[in-house]
Amino acid sequence: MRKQSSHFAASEPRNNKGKKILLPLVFSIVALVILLIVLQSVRASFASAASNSGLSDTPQIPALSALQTEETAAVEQEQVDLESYPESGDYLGHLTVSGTTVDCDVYYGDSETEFSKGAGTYKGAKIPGEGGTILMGGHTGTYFRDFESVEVGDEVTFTTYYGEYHYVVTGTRVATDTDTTAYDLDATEENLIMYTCYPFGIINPTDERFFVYCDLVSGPSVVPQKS
Amino acid sequence: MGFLAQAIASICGCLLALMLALNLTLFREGYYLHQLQNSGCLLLIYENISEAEQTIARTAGLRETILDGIVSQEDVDVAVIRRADEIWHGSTTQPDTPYADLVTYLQDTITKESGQMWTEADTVRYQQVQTVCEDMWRTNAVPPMANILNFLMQYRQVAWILVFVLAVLFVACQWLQIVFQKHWHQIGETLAAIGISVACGTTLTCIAISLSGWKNWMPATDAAYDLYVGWFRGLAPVVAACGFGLAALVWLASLYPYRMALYHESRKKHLTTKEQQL
Repeated sequence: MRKQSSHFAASEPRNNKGKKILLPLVFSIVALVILLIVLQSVRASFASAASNSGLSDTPQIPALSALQTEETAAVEQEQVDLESYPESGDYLGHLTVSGTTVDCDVYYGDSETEFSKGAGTYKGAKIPGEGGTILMGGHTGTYFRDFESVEVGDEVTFTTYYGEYHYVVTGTRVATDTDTTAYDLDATEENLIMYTCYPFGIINPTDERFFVYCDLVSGPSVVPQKS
Repeated sequence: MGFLAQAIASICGCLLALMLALNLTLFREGYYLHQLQNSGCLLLIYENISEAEQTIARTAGLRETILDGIVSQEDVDVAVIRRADEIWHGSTTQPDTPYADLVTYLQDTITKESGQMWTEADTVRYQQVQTVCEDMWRTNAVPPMANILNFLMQYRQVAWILVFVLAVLFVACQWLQIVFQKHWHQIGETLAAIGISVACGTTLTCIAISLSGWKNWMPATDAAYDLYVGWFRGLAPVVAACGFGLAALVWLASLYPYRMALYHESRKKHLTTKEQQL
């Protein structure tokens, strides 16, 4: 009996030692796994942001058309036949704003899914070429962070999968998120309105929005139009 | 409670190593600028601008090389670094573009070359060239990977606060071992175990970083791919250095309880021998 108890007493510290090393190790692994799961969405957004560095092998000359003679600048008004209207989450095209680092993909829809990959267009508005208001949003923490560098006269190039559209910035404005006068979705002339949260660069949502208003310069019109 | 404090210390140690590494690499402007200057990106931007100048001159009906020499590599470096600074520290005053005196330059140069005075129409044309050049300059003289940097800057604000909180928890949980453990050698063992956990956790973090496939996040054909790889590659070694550094500190700290334990044991032995002698 005495021998047994001494054996038990000898094995106890060894078990404790194992516990002391193994238990925190298990906790660390569990914590890392949780961290990796939590960071999964951050990783996806980071990977999307990393997909395009914004640096091109060829120079970008946004306003070059201003120097072209009338003969070379004259572009026929094309009409593109859209086989089907885009659906939620579909890739619409690529957007750049001259004079800024805004350079991202644009998707149809304005949920967090689209915003995590680039900019998104409001489904209740139009798409380029339809001849109305295109309402496009993006996060100020990522793709639309450099809206503070936007100036009137900057050129916006929206290269959609069906044609290239050029817009010129006509103005900017800060408004609240409930201010419906900040945009006119019933406009008949094609125009692009881009917005992001304001002040710039914040993570938490705010009730202020920074709007950038643009007029169409060139680009084909589309058929069929949304009913 | 002792186990809980030990586990919290281990987790905090791993997270602290990761956060410290992020603050020293991806969240640090100097690290990005160093990588940028060592990459060929600044030269590519300069070449793009020079090529753009020639295209603008050709489109405007001017001699193709007339704008050469207006912008130097140094101008490009300064402008790009300034824009990068803007991303890190918010808006700064926009510097003058190198094309501010372009109209005068074109008037003087073309008059000198052709021997004819400029007309009003020429001046309007030169002003258009200046506007296009300024727009081209603002578009091209920007730091590569702006989207990634903007994305990271969201989290940078809270990163140092998190480091501070984790460091406090890490130290406090180790100090709590003095309260929860009964003997000096137990404290020493626990601290050594925390060190092992941090070292193992850091190794796992490094493995997770390398398995994340970060190299494929940017297409290899991208002009800034080398910059991206060089910039991101630094994270894992720094995580390892921070993690093992923290573990080494904990192991060093565990030496003191061991010494105390040895001291107490020798004293105990000494007293026992004395008692036996008596």
